[in-house]
Amino acid sequence: MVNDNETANRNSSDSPFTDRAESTEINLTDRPYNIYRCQDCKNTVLSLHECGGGMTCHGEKMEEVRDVEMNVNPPDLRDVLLNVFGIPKVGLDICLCVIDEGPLSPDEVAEKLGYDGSTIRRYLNQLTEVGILTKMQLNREDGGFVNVYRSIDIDEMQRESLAGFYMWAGEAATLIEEANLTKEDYLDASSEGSMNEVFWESFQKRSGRGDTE
Amino acid sequence: MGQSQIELLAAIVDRYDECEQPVKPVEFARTPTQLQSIRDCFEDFESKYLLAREDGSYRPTVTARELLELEIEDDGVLLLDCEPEE
Repeated sequence: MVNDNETANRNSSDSPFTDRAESTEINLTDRPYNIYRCQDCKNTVLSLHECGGGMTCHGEKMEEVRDVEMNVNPPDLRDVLLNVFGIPKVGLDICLCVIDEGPLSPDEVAEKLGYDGSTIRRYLNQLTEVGILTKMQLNREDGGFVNVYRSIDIDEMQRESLAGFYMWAGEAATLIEEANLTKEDYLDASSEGSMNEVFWESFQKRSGRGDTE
Repeated sequence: MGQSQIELLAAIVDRYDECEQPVKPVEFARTPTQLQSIRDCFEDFESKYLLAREDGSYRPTVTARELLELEIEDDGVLLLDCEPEE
């Protein structure tokens, strides 16, 4: 890990929080979730449903994290849906538009939302791929078929979306750990190249990413 | 309308199966003012291939029966694409 002084120095130029007001400690005690940290290893756990007694790691009770010193941008629902699940705002609009109004056709939804019918169909396929909707075919008497899009069970959706988000968060946490290790490697290597070059080249190699620009 | 549309469609199928003859909107309207919205629903169902017109009355289609077999939840999002792209 990078030592605290190094981190503070780089935050002044690299941090996305540089334009924000002076960083204040974030209190977590009244949040609807709990974060626990193992006092022996680096394991950190997020719990949405406190069942009492906290969490344990290798048989020992974990410490509850009550405040965070790093400034964190509050998430926006639209950003979460887009960044985590790839669901754009219009996808959410479609679901909200149809709830308690159905059955509607894509063209009727398009008219209500001011989009083209083909746009709605494209998003319906996307919502199906993401797993928010399921798609089935009904037979028509003239030999054709009708596509039916319906939402998955609400309980299933809650389970799946949480599991999906945790997976995303786990991947994000892995990236952060990889990034920290890469900085450490840079500091040890005393490279002649600039920080940016060494960091991104090494990070992309580690995480198997090619050009990300 | 949502679930009430599905309930109306189910009622149409039940009535048709019971009487073994096509049904009319007036049979499902409790009040005169309700009749127009029931008529609108029938026409909407027809446009979605859920009802077929027969001599001024309607009969439920195979599509309607298959839709009802899906047992749509009260709060489920439901879209019917009757002209899907191949």
